[in-house]
Amino acid sequence: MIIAILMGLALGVAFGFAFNFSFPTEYAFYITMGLLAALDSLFGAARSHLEGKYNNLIFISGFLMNAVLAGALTYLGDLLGVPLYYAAILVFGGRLFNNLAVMRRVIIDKYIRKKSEGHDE
Amino acid sequence: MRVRIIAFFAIGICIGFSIIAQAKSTDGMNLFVSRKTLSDLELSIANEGAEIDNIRKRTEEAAFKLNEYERIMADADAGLQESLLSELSVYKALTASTALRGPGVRVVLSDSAEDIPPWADINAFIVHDTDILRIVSDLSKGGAEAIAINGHRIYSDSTIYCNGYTVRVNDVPEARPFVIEAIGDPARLSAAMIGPNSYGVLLREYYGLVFLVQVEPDVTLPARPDKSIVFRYAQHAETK
Repeated sequence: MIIAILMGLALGVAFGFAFNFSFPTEYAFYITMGLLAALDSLFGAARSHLEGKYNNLIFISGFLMNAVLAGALTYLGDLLGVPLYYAAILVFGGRLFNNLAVMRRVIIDKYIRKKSEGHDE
Repeated sequence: MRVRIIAFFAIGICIGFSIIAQAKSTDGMNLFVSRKTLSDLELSIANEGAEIDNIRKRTEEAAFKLNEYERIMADADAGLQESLLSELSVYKALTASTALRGPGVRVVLSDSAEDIPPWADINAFIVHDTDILRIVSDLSKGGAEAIAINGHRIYSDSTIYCNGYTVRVNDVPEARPFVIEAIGDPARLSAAMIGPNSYGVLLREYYGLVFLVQVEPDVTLPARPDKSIVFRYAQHAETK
């Protein structure tokens, strides 16, 4: 699973370098917010996968909803002159670290359990 | 499980691709630009555009004028231009709008240095406006082309009148000694000044005033103060 994510990322980066494509500057900020939302969803999915609670529908809908909300907040902030996108950055960033910590714990738990089982035998 | 892996893979591709594309397009620039900054920039761009249009228009106008002048320069009768310029210099000299120099005389006129007897009329011992006017008139008769009193040029609307102990020349109070300078033929001018029946000699011999005449090879008369001449009543009689 993690191999699939890493391979996807590597292939995307390779595509990015291979094709000389760039987003229009007006939307660059929204793209960044969407990126953050996508990363958050990916980490959340990876975590739920490790915990065995993964659901395709939750993953896809969460990904879309997060991206839409982040974009909407950015747009609203733009209209009001207040940087509301901070909210999205803080929540997504915080959740990234949170998910990473949970994943780490789950993986270490698994590793320790495996080791102790081997020791018992 | 398979759907899951495909989804992860696809999203991984999207994210990786987006990150690279974004990094390329922004180049590390600050992304968030507030609406106010945007509208300010739009306004200043519009202003600059208007300014550029303005300057372009002025450049065109200047080029057009330059063309016109060059055409006139090429066409114009050189003789006409020269005659206009020489006419202009004559008028400038006549209206005292320009400083003049040339040979001439310097006349110094001052109050009597003699002791005044108690019974005498003091007016007989001092310089009056009429004395200066007579001498100016005599200088003109002697062919003076330009005259100045204590540095005040005499021209068509000059004034010379008594003002207590001083004499106002062109409305400026001047005290003795009065230095009258004139440009013209020095011999004729000095003859007009010290000839047998001249007014200056009368002043010196009968009234005892100080009256000196010096021939000057080169006197310079200043221009009058800048003042526009306005004719409010006089009109050209020939104008139809």
